[in-house]
Amino acid sequence: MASTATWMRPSVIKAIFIAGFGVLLHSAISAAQHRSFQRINRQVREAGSVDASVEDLNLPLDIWLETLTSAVLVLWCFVQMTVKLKVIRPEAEYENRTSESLDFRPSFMVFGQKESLYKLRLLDQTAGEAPLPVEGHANASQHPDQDEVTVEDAPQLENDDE
Amino acid sequence: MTWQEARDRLKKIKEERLRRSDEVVELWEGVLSKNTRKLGDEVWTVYEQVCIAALDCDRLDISRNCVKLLDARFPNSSRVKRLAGMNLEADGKFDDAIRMYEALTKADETDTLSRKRLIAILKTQKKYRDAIEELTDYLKTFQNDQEAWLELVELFCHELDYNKASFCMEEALIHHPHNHLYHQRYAEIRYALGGFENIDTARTHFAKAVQLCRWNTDALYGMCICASHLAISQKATAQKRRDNQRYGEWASNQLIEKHSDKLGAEGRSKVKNISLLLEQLQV
Repeated sequence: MASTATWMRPSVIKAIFIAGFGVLLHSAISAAQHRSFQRINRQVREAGSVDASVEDLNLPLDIWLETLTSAVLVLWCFVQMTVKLKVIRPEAEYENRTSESLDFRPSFMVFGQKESLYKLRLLDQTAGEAPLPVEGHANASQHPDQDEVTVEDAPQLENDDE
Repeated sequence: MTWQEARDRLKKIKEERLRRSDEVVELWEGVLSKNTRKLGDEVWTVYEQVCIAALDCDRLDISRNCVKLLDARFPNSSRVKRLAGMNLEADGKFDDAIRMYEALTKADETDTLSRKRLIAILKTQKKYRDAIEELTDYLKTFQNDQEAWLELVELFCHELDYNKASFCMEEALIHHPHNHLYHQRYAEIRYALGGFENIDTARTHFAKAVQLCRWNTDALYGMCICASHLAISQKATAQKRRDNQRYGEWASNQLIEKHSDKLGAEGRSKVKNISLLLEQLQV
């Protein structure tokens, strides 16, 4: 069940859910009524001393169908209403990642560079100049698609400008 | 911005592993520092995150304050001690920091984060050879640490040892075969190595990266370059040359399509420039 019903408005789903719940309730009541009807029948039969040991446990077909369809409907609506399902494809998890996440490893962060990128950026803002002196990567990759090749993309190794 | 939004943004930055240290510090100073009570127990993880971000931004006043508060709450925690060590590093007191981390690793041999900090100090001191040695030693024990494998890739690339870098990248690739960035990086290293076979492998991995993520423009460009190289290579068979011709054309068409989608109507002349440049790539 990877797809969510985006073509249906939430209010519609809610309405179906309430209706389905009503039908489910109705089928429960009919089942109970059927049972009590059987019990009365049995008592009558016992009074008439007919063979009473055989009890018919089966419900009539219409109650069966009503229960099943309404239960499936209610379950489906419930899933649609509450949770946002995730796509099962394994690569979906990584689709929104950019090279930024590949080049950032928090455990190996390097501190103590006094000319930190943050300060450079602050200087930059005050001077009103756009580009930063960021050198290319060792295995230089182009970033033609990214609008923001910013300080975050700067390799951590190459802070040789002290 | 409300404090809830700021909190969620911090969480997102942490989960997606983004280096937005300046943003974290701004959020902390602007919004969250006035609402520490409302954060409840979450405040301690926020302090940790802000502390590291502040160190990255060279805002030692903030990071010292965070460590002080954390130390008051968790007096004997190794996690807080590590943060204090990072503060020392940022101050340039490497010897003190090394002593601190060594005490931590001695107390708990599985304290991988402190060991990684020791390697990071070597990196700060520009002792890249030593860092590589330490890191390979570390990876002998903790082979499933893909962050460390990636770090080793970067160190080897820095030393221009692409053969070893490609081996390490393969290790990382085994851990996450569905990550398009890993395929892309592996292909880039292979392309940097050069030679017919390496470029052939690079082309395959660029193609895989594009298959896994259709928006990966870097990989499309890589595919263009590799395919055009292979299409005129002397070593390739006629069939292979023809195939690569087709792959290259497909990739450049994809690129033009993507650029014209993004630029819209007014960017038509720019798209034309791009297609001219792509033709030049096919030398």
